[in-house]
Amino acid sequence: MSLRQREEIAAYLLVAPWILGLLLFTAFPMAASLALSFSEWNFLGDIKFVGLDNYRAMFSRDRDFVVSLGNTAYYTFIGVPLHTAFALLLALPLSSKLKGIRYFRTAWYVPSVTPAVASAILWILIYHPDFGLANTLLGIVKIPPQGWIFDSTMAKPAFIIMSMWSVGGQMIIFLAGLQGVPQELYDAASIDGAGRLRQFRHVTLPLISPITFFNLVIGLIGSFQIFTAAYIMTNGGPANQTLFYVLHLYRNAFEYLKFGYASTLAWGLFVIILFFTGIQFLGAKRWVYYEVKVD
Amino acid sequence: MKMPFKKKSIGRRALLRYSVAGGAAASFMAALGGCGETQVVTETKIQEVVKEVPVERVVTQIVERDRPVEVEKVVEVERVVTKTVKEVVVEVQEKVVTKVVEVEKPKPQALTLVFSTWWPLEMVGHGVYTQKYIDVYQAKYPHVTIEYRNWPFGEYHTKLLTQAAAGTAPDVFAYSGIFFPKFVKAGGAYPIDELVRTDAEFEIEDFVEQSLRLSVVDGRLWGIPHIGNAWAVLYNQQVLEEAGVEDINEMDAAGRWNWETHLEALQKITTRDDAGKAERIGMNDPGLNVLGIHSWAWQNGGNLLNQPGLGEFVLNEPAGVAAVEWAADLVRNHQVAASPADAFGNSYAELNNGRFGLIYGWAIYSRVKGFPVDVAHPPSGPAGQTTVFHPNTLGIAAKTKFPEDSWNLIALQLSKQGDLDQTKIMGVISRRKSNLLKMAEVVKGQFGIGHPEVVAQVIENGRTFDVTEFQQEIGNAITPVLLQNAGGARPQTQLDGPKPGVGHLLAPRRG
Repeated sequence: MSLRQREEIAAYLLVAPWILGLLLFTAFPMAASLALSFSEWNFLGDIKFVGLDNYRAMFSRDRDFVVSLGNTAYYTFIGVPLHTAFALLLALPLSSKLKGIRYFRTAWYVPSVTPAVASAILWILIYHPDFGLANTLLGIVKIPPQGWIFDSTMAKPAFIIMSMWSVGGQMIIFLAGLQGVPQELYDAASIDGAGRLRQFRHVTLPLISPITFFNLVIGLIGSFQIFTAAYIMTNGGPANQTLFYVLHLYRNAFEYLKFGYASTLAWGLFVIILFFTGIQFLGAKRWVYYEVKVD
Repeated sequence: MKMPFKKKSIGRRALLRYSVAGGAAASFMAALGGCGETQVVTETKIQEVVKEVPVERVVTQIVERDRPVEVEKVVEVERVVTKTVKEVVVEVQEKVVTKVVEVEKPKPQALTLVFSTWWPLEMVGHGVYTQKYIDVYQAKYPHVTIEYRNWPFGEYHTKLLTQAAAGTAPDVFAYSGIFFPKFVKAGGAYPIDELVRTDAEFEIEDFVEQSLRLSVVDGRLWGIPHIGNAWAVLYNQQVLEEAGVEDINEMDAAGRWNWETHLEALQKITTRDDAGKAERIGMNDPGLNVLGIHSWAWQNGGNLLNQPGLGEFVLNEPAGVAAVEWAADLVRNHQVAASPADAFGNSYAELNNGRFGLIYGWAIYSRVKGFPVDVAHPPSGPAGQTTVFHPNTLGIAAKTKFPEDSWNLIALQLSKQGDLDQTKIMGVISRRKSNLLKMAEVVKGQFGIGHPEVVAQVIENGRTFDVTEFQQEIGNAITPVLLQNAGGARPQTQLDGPKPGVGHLLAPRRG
């Protein structure tokens, strides 16, 4: 056996665990769920092929599909831009070299690694209409108390506000991006007479645009999949205002035992996310600048 | 040619003696093998011995069932044979009895049963009861070891479902009554009709019929009702007295406890500060959910689903809508019941500390010492006085390897004594008719309820609501509407909204 052949075998052996993992835990479940989306299955009994019935039901008979998609779209398209902007605004001062800045960075990052269940319980208490911190703070500035997650008009905004708390992950990525902007560009802009705001607009924003783009794409994908907080805090209520897409999918799978239909919903979500991610990539050509042009 | 032995004539008595001995031994051997007896016996050509057929049947039963009482039946056979030849029988009888004792005492194979619920063994009440009956079971069946598992209620049923799919579900499990039919329909449970029928000591007829309804699916029995309870009014006597409200049980006894007096009482109890914020609220959330709404609908002559087909949603008919309006108005218009936000805290704690004048809760309630809380029947509506009765279920996994041993664990826990112990230790209501009257006595002192007879009355009037396999879909469809009615943000009084959705859900499935 030649050296080249031996090296090839070794290479395949080294990547084999990854390939096996991909096949077993990603490719096979995806293929199975695609097959299930054309079936009716209660998880314990036989699988019945139903053709496109599930897809027809999703668009014609499932009212909650529309409701949950609407709620999720609201949460995503209002929440993600706000979330991203807040992360960037937070990263700007935290990228400075002030004394003790690491502690502030840690403080902002910690919520993003706090278990989602613990966060949800904490926010239930924060939003309590009678003794919650949110209404106490509003009271200080003379704003009347709100119903927050218990009020059908306030529930979704309350979830968006809550999402700001876990902005630490995006903030860290922005921080890394900001620290990668060459100082000489700021110096040159300064010599040209650009103030802080202009420097931010014409130097910082274009140079971190790939980071912003990455955060927006990841934020949109994650946002479409919001589940834990809604499941624990409101279980879709009040009045279905927080019935998000994945919660609806979960109910169909594990409460209604419609695993076939739940798989259909999962593929529906995949297509929706793919569509909006595609739009983001198309739009990115107009505003995302890479240091090295890649053909 | 000389014979190798001397030919000896056999007398009639000797022939009979040998034949009887040979016949009995042949019968015994045949019995041990569990095969047909007639060939062996026929060869002896002795009529009297042929009558020994019962020996074989009896011994066969002993082999299969290992019941010590069967030995007595062998003695019965002895009497039959005695009629024929007295001298021989003694010898044969001794052989038979000795063999029976040797063969019929096989050691049961050691096995482990997995038993699951949603409470830990350390839990006061439920845990104590469960541990007690695990111990009793293991003492009675020493060859069985119980492996107990528990998960929080929120994830319990999903966990059981995935385990059932993997074939690793617990042999015996507790299951929420309203979710059980769906689990059965999916194929997760083992039918227990036959186990119940062959268990002479377990009297299924003793169970309150209402309590069995959630365990019967497609005409078969799949579980036995477990830890049931019924909705009742629990009221803080001190708060009512301060508010000038007559004692509810006195009103009930006088036939004046109805929707009107209920509302009047709540109005008297509720107090607000200058800003309109409630300081004391008449009652907790009036049951704006799929379970609670049944009481109001029944009291008004309505229902959630049509009877007996259960395929049609009827809460949106006039009686149902009026009942929902009534319950929602307590929150929205009269503002005497807690909104979902007001009800955020623990209702029982709020009752004890006097924030709520009354709450709707389980009939047997452990009163905190020093708090004057009593129990009453829910009020009469236009269609009468009734309430919701909700039992959970103990079932057996479809793929269990030990159905009989699993059944023994259920039968022990839900025996007459087990049922009564549940009331005594857990504070749940009995499901056995024979225990209903004893129950009041059992809870007296154990649970500080001033009117134990009211509890019995609540159970008597309690109704189990109809559950279909679409229970959760219906609940998820109507609960938002009920809450929206009460929330006041966007009042919506018609229930036509969920009808198409629920109608679709209740439609026959493909295939």
